Amino acid sequence: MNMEKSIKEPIVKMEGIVKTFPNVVANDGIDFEIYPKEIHALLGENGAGKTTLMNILYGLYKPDRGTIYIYGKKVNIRNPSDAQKLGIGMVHQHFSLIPYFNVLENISIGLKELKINLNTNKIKEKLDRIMQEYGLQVDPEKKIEEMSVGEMQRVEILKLLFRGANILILDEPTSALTPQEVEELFKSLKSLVNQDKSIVIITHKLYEVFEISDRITVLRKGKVTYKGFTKDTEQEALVEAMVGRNVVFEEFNRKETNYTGSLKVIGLTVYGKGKIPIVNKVSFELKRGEILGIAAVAGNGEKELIDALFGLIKANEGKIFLDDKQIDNKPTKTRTQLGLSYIPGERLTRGVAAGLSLSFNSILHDHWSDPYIKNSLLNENEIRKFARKIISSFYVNANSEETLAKQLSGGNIQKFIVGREILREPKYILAVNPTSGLDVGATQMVRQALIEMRNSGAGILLSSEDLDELVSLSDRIIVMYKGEIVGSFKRGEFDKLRIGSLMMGKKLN
Amino acid sequence: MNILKIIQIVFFIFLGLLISSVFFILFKLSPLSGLGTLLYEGFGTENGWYNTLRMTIPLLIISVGLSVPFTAKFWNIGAQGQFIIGEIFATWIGLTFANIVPPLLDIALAMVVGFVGGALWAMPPTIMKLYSGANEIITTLMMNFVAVYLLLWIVSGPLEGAQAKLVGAPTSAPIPAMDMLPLIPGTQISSGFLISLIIAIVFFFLLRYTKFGYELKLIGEGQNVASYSGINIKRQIILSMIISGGISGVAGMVYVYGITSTLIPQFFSDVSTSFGYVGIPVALMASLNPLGIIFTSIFLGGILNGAFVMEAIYSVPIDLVITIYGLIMIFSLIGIMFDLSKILRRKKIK
Repeated sequence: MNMEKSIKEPIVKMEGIVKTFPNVVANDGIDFEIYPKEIHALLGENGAGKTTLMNILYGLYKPDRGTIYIYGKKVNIRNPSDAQKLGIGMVHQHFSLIPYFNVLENISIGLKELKINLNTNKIKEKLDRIMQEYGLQVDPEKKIEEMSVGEMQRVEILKLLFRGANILILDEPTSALTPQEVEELFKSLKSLVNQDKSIVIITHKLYEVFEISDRITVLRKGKVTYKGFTKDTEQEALVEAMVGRNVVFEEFNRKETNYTGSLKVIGLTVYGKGKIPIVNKVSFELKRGEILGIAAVAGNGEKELIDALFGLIKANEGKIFLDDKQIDNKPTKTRTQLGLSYIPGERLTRGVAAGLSLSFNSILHDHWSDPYIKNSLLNENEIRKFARKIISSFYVNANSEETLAKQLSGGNIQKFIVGREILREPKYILAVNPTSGLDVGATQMVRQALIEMRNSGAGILLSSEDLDELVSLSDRIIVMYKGEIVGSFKRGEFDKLRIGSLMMGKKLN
Repeated sequence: MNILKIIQIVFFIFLGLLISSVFFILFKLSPLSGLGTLLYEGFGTENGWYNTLRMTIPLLIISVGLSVPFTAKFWNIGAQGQFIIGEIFATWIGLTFANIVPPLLDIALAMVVGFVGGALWAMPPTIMKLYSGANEIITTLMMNFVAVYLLLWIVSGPLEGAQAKLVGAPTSAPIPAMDMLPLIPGTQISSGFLISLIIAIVFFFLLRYTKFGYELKLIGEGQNVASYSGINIKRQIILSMIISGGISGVAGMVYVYGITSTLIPQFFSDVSTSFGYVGIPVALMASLNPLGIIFTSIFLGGILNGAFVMEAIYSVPIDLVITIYGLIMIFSLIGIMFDLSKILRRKKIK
């Protein structure tokens, strides 16, 4: 290929891509190009639309509008196998390997030439050649379940190369890797680029961007907010492109509060696989009448912290006190009875029993005693009454309290969960992305309800992907990175640029 | 249940009968009179009803017991084994205490011990699942095989009756007649039928109106939402399996005390005693509703009975009869499980 030409002409050109999901515009007119022999970092907060955009390129989603050109030719990518034919391959955040199969078997799955004859010798030869060529070594006979995450990733990449991919998309490739594995991965990626491949990495880790990429595109709320060569890019500009400017938000009616009692966390530690701490010696105090925001990029221990506070996973070390009562050794049931509520992030699998009616769903945390249970029997009148109260107070769009939860739209399920957790009048609320997927009106209603709970004396621990939401609701914000609290801000001192940099593992001065 | 659904079920049962007709024709029998006879012998005569209910009693009790762990989506395939152990325990009580304690006490004792036997048999797979993740479908099924051979050994060894040696077919000695469950006055129906109806009503209540039933439903909706709700999942699963295994054991007791009076060995191919297996579709066909199970168990009990009468009286090959029984069961299951409205809706969206 002519060098001159290859620099000027992008091999992939996406133009005006629009993709909407119910209540969310995931991609709002995005232009995106990949040039030959480059590593392109696609950067943005959670929910900025990065994965959606790449899924469109990989044929998993159909864009509502927009065109894709490959080598200057307009294409219609209907499914991943179309994408593969065009030389595009994608490694998702969650690997799609079969744990009981070995490398060779995993690579063979779906290959045309194998339909009749299971002759793996040829495949092994070709695989050996590819491994040699790109310096990516794995044992072809090794089973996936015996592998480290780094090895699995290599298998995923080999799978793509085997199918002749020229453009590799990696979705947050380093999120589960150890530092050494990251280094190795980066080395392989560089050697791939040297051999004429192009790579897109989806990430939100700043240091990676500077270490490995040649070019950067930043998305924010579905729009491109930055484009440029890495070498010309200032760190501050990137952060601002990701989190947006510091603007003044409309204030809620925030009362001065002075309540006694707090949810105190001391040295909380949760170990993951191999005794690596996911939550690392976290301490804080959430007072009643206060909203404490947790700012973190997904996967930095914020979810495990909250699950451990609610008793869904075990805290390996540390203590939790609810109004001076130690609760870290108590089951979830006791914690809810002491006045703890939880608006979970996984609304469909955790927040509601999808196959049961809204009335049954209204007493998940309160089906132990009066008034909903009398002598071990369900008191259906009281249960229905409470369900109706949730439905009417939070404008849940449901035919009746006997409607099954799964018949509701996602937004209405979310409103129902928020309503249930608030109307049971808890002392403390753990809230994870309480407004995700809600329309503007419902978002405002939920935020208002949280502020009112705060004003009337509830302590709220708010974890949100939306930094604007944290800034507009919180009294204090703590930042979590790799399981640790790396920063703390008081209301009035909130600075999105500083918070954003801390979230991504960098300090700004 | 709406009209559409009922039409759908009737349609599929009819389809099952239609396909059965093919088999009648293959055996050079008139399908119309064959199927007519099947239904007539099952439901058409007083005597037919008596025999149908004999089949229904153990089926009904077992299926109702299964509905409890099934509600929590814990798949107990071991009702057959739990039934057999209940039979063994109850028979042992009967043969040991029959002439020592009053009949009523003997019956009560046998029922309690039968329950304990079935519940114990259900425990190893349950514990294995909860503490090491072993698939309960496989382990409960394996326990059935163990139980079948245990029974064979018991009736040809420890509990072998004197008459069995004479005849050469292994069975236990009979439970004394005065200790058997009495017949419902004026009928040939064992009062075991009343027991099974009472169990069904109690269990309907248990699943529909109690905290326990509510928690099982939540567990059935998934571990995530159940633990989020603060439920002690392990405890409730164990409890549900104690109940399910125990009730299957009670079915075994009622079967011996109400119908056979002796312990008879079972063979894997024998449909007539495979209540623990047939109980699974019976429970599913009724959407795990114990009141619905009353009807589904009578329906399948009747078909089964009709089939055996056909074999006995009209010398229709037993294999044909079992094939037809299976076909009717499969098609009624499809009719009930198949969600026609869902498919119609999907079409519309496209």
